[in-house]
Amino acid sequence: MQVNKSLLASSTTMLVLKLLEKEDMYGYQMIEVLAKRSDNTFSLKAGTLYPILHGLEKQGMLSSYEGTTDSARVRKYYNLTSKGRRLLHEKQAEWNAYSDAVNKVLKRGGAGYAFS
Amino acid sequence: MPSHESISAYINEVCNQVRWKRVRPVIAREIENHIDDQIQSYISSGMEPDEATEKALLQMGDPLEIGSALDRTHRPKPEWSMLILIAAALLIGLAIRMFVSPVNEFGQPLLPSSLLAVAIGVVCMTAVYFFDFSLIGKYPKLTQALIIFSALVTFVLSPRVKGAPLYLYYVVLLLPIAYAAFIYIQRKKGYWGIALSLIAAFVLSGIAFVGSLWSEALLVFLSCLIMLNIAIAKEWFCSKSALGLILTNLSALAGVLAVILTHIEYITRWFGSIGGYYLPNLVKALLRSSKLFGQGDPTLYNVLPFSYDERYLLAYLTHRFGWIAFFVIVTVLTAFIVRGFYLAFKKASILGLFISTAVLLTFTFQTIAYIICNLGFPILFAGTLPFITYGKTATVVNMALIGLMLSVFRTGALRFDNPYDSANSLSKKSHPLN
Repeated sequence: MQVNKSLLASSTTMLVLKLLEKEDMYGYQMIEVLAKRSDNTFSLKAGTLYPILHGLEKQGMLSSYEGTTDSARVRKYYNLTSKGRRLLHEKQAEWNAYSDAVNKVLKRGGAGYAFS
Repeated sequence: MPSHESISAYINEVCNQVRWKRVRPVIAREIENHIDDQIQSYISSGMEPDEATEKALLQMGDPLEIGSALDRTHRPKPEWSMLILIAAALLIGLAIRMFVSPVNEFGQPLLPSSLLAVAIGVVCMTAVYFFDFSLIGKYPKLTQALIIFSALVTFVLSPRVKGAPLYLYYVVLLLPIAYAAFIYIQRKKGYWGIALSLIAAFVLSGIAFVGSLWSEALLVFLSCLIMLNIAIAKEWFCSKSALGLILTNLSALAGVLAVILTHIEYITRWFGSIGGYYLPNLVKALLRSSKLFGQGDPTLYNVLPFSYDERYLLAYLTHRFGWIAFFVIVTVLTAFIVRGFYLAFKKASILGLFISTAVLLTFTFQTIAYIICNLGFPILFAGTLPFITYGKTATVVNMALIGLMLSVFRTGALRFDNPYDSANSLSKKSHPLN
């Protein structure tokens, strides 16, 4: 299922932070994992991802280091800082409150009424 | 178009949107890796290389869009908080020259030369601020050689006061920078690198020591030792941190004790020469009669014209205007130091961390030595209270050093340490940048 783009953009930062919650990743890996975990709903473009990553790094939400994997290539890994972890929790709480509210309206009002 | 050409054309287009040139190699490298990964993935799913490249570039998105988004993210940002604190300290210094101690003991006005020093200082600070500090990482040996050479030249040529070269004090303030460059090239050298760094700490502080600047020698040594501890804790030498830290500090302690024991005669003589207990006792008397606000007992000034003695300016100000003056000055300088260390650890690359701690430690130790002395404990020599006391060369050198530190903070958290040199990156297992 494809999702409206503006809805995706507002939640991308949260998804990026969430991806890094358990392990450090590099950019390409994040796009792959995100697509896999969302059954290809989120096909994040590199053009969207890197500005977000660099912005979050600049704000101190992420830190980066260059590391090698099994292949010889050196990659730039991102790591979630404690500040980033706090931001993730805030964003998640915000998201839950928002989606709960939307669900309540949808259930009570009927779809046609809500979006007329 | 052959595939590698279309890839570099894409990367160039992205990078051309980013106005800050120093960040371009970092971005180029990351995007190139990303495109490579994408192409490999398409090829392994059965695509032809040319088709895979084309599809991978399409998947990346519009190069102009990604380039301008990255340009918005990467704008060099001055650290206003630090600049405001420096400006506050400089203004306090100038206000003192203007209203409190406008002349020296020979009746010459101090304000014009203070203003000139601040003006030269601002020019130096700005010049160094726009200097690319990563050049120190690129030419670490040249940096060390230049600083040590200027120390030796000063040692030989400087006029002497009581046998000590007068201007060596200012060059000594630069020694921790040489040390930052030294430990930077000891990366991954294990315990051997740690041992060499410890020897370098003794050698550098030895320069101040042979110039009869005992307390400066101690301060340089402590600065170097702290930087070495940080480097070990960050696994810069790729050795076990705990063992490295214990061995380093034990050997440092042993070394210092050895120096003290072999020079015990000089050191006791030096302690005697700071003015015995006459001045410290007078300082204590001044402070005891100081109020929180306003002037303390004015008869004490008859004993010694403290207003002329820059070494005890802080004690004098405390007595003349109350402890509030002491707290204001100490708060401004402490805020500067604390904020500086915070930024160094939060926002700097590893080279940036070494350089900014070198500057901050120099600044911190000057401040601590001065304050302790002005509280009536002449353990260390009170050289200058940065920006507050009168000192033309000291002001210029301190401001240039701070310009260097601000140039580190200006670049933010991104790593600029030779992004194309893979040997310079840290392995995934030990990522000491966090």
